[in-house]
Amino acid sequence: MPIDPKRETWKPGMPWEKALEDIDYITGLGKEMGGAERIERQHKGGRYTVRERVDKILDDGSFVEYGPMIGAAEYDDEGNLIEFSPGAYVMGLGEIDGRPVAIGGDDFTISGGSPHNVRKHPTDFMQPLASQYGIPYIQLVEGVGHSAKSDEAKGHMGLPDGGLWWRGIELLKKVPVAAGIMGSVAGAPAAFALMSHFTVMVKEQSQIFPSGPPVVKRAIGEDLDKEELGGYKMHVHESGQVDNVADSEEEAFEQIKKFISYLPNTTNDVAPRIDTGDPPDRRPEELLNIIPPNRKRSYDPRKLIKLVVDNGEFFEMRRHWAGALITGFARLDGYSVGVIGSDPMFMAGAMDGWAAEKYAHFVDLCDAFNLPVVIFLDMPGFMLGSHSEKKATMRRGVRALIASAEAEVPKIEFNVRKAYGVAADAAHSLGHPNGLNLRFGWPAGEWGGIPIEGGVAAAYRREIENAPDPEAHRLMIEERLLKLRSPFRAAHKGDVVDLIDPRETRRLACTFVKLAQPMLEKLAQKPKRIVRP
Amino acid sequence: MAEHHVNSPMTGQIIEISVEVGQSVSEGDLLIVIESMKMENEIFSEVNGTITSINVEEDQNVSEENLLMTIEI
Repeated sequence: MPIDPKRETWKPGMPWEKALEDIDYITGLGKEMGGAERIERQHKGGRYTVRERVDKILDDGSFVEYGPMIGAAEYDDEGNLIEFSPGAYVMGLGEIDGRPVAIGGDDFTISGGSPHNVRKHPTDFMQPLASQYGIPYIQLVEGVGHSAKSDEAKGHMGLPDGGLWWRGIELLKKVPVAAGIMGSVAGAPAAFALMSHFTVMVKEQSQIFPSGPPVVKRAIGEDLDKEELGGYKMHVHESGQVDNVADSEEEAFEQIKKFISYLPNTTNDVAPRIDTGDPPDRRPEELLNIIPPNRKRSYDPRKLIKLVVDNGEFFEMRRHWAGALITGFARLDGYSVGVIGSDPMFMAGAMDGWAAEKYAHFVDLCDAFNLPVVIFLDMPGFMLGSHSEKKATMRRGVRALIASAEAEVPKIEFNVRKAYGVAADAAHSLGHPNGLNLRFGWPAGEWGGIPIEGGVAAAYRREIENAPDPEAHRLMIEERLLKLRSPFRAAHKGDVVDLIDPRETRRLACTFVKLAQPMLEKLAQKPKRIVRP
Repeated sequence: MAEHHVNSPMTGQIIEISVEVGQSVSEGDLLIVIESMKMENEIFSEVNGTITSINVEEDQNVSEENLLMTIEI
């Protein structure tokens, strides 16, 4: 709807009816976004407009727009509106499954090229609002940041002062922040997106980088297309910069909604309990034989987790990065929990630098949002070898350990198989010293400072070398020590609360989560640290 | 036709090669077993296609990222 230059605009003294007409008229102009041609271009690229995105993610009819009339407006000498271009951001309040949220998103049909872009920014409106009201904040990012054209218009190049960020940083301390990276995102919008507790990008539609291919080529001569440079393979699978990938925009919205559903409205609340209808005393029969008798063999750890949690629903975060460790959210008896597991199918479940980083971040997230943590540990130790050394595995491992020790949320830990060395101590330290530190062992449980196979060769080296048959002597010592590996011996010493029938895992986990609730209420009152992405 | 590279996810020793050159494989089929961290780590195909080369032998030590085999898809 292009502006009608002959239309008379309401002026003070005219009837209220005329004013209402003009409100509708100008709001209508705003809804036209960057115009039919640009909307068509957005749709041709398989992408929704920001208004469609907001409608799809929110409960029907719940959107209350903030600043629908904000835009570049020009009036003639008689006071009639002759030009209007809406601000390149759509924002407001809405509800997701009946819960209030603040939401905002870039309008790419304008930010993608309009010269009339006026400042309309989440830092001025939605971020403070989310913070003050204590509601989750959702950002749908599709923008490319600072334009050299604006420098020319201003006539000088401003010194960046950092003032753009502090509200977003404060927000990370207070409410859940989730970002959908909806297209090519660079510069400041990219940083806004990553300043979140959860990020998701759309396969082969979204890319994220400080600067896109033309700038990269100019600066360092590297010639890559935008998908190679900043697509999901780079950032969800390889770098871990973005948490999750979705096949479509709709799936990205579903993931954002799911993420929010497990968290409380603020770091000073406890997540809402939902009636899931899954009995807490359900005994998953398949758990009994899920661990193979041959300890060199793997099993599907996600199947294990899904057998335990309510209705098998497990929302995984960072699924494709640092695969030795599994992190995600689920419910137990309707209560929200963070879940940490090992994946023996990926690098034997050993912790490398990336897995340690994933662990530390997830623990910080659970601690900030008062989520109790359920751990299914099968950790052979740190990943060994030169590739792992290059990831600063032990320093990052120590960081994971410290994150655990600082976290106050209670945990329950099922030692389903291995737990060796400092790497396993990251999990063991969680919730110390005041938490409900409930550690249970499965019959397949085996643990210690170092596995027998490598440990014997190192500790008994001289004795083995001096033996008449060193190989036989080593095996003899290993045989002797293998008997000590029985989890029963550790259970006699109280290292675990109990050795359990794996089928009891769900019942115990549900009991724990219920027990933890009063403690969570108290923890919620404490000031929280920022969760650094 | 595109070539899919199967690279070793970890450093270890090849203990079993479960496919042959020319064999067609489906997503989820077992390709190779690498012993590492005292575990038999099974590497499954992520694609449907035909094995065009196998670049390692049984008992061979491999490093993370080493090319194990190629699959034409």
